[in-house]
Amino acid sequence: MPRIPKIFRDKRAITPVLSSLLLTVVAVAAMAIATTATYVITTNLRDGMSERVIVEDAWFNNSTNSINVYLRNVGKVTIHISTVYVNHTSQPFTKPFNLEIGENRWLNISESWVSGALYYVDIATTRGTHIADYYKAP
Amino acid sequence: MLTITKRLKQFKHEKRGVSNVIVVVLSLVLVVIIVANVVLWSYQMSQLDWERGQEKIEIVNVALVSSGQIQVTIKNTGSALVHITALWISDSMTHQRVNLNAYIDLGETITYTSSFPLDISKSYVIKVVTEKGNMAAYPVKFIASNGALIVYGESTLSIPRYRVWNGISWSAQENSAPASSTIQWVVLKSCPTRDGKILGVLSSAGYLDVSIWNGQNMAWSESLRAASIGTSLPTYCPFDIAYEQRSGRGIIVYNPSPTGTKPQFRIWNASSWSQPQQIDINTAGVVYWIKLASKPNSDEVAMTTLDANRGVYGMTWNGAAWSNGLVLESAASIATRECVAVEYSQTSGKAMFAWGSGTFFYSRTWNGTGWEPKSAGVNIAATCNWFSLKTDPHSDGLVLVSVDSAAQLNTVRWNGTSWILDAMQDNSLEPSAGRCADAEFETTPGHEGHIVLVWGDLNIDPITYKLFNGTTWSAATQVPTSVFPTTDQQWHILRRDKYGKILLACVDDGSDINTGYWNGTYWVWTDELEITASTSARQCFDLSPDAYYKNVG
Repeated sequence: MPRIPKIFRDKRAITPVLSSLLLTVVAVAAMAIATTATYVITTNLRDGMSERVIVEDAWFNNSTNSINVYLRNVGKVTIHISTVYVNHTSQPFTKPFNLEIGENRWLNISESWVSGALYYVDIATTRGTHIADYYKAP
Repeated sequence: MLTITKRLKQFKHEKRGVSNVIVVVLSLVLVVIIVANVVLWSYQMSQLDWERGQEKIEIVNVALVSSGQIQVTIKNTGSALVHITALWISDSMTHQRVNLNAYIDLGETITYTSSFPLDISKSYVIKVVTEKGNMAAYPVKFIASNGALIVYGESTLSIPRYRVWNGISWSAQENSAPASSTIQWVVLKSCPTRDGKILGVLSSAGYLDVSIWNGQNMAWSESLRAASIGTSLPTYCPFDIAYEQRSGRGIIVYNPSPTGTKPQFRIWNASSWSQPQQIDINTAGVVYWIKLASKPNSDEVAMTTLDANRGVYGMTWNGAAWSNGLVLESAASIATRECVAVEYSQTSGKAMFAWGSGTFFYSRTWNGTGWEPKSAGVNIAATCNWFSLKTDPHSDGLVLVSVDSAAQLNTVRWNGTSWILDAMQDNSLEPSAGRCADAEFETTPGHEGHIVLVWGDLNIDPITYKLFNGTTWSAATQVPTSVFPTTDQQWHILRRDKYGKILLACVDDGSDINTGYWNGTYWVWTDELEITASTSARQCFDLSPDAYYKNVG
């Protein structure tokens, strides 16, 4: 029978080592969680702060009976439009509607508009940014 | 030192609290990272917003140039460089976005020409957008101006007189910028992009004076004495004026001296005249006649000259330089009368150069890249003396009016591919000392492509005219002197305004300058503007309808 080295037969100090290892694992895990949380928090904060969208043009389109809004992403993150409200009522629009940085295109909102009426168009992003203004139908 | 060493040894042996310190430090690092990130990004976005706030742009003018193109003048009135990325042209039916890539420095102004065609009398909103999201809008609704201006010489006065046409009547007579006496030749041209005109006046003293009419201020600039050509040359008209149709810059070409064989030119850029520069033409005689024509929707200008040796030269200006020069003829019909002409076909944009040689009329076309062969001669049966060449705005059609040495009136029509000589219109004009005939294309609905021809018949007081209906010429008709109180007309000019009204001015043997217009059906007399014209043998008057479109948006 092979002889077990003395060091493995010595039971002294195992508990402290294990506890130290366990503490290290817990500490590393806690730090990883904290770092991830930090990353997530800062990323969300940063993205939320970096959203900038402008309405280049609003067109009350007679031929399609819709309100077409030309959006341009002038911020530093990709934009995802989540909801469009017309006069505080959610309206269907062409989905999904994402705008990369610097990208621009029409957002077509289904709305039977009336000539001469005033419309409050509120476009909300998934991060909570609102682009809202009043537009008068021609 | 001893104390520090002691403390360190104590710390080395005392493990309690170390992990707390590490946790606190790491937490602080995390907090710092979060705060730094937030602060950094917040700063960057604030910077972006601040920069956007510094931007300010303004559309200072939108002008409609020929065939519906617009020129948008944008000024940077903010305190940062501006990058324009889009131009919007919107009406109730369409919203057109044009990508732009123009940078405007602080205080700088740029002019952008869009090829998107605008309809007359329709409302639009023109909008420009910057890269950072700022905008400027300008409502427009263009209507053609129906005004005109006439300038004429009176008696031996050195100051030309002028009147403004408001579409209905002429204003009272006023003085334009001083020139010199006695006024022999007047050339007046209208700017296609602004309410402005350039006036050139040549006197018998040999001075060529040029001034600018500002229609907005209703005022003349001070005269520029462009040339002094002695007292012999003013028998002829060795200068002409044209506007570049896209840029709206004016150009005057003139013989600068009594012995000038090379013309000079200057450019009017809406604020100042350029220095004179010489045009190298390859004819050797003293330049007697210069005619210019503007290419539609372009900055090209065509020039033809006729010199004392009867040499005819053709050349083009491309907006930057004169080139493509060619001797068109070395033996023109006559040097002392204007037997040369140049005009552009409006659809093809080709320049038609016309000249007389003997009893024949010839032409040659500059097609934009090269010279086409000389046309076959058209025999008008007498020595060519005076030409007037007019263009149809709706086709490639042209009409040449010829007054020859036998006082005969002929017309030759260009249908886009060939010349057609009409039957002689009249064989007894007023003596051919002056060009007593002119023609103009009609544009009123139902009359497109029709031609109005007027002339002074020998010893006949009424104005004589004919109409071409697209196929045949009408019989000669006289406008009763009870309607149009003229005597024997010595010089006629016809000019069409933007509404198709054909304005007429003529000087008769009583030195009266009368005006009127053809409304598509009949002649309307609009006044006798002058009873002592400075001469009746030369064009001592010129009438120029407004060529710009007014924004009433």
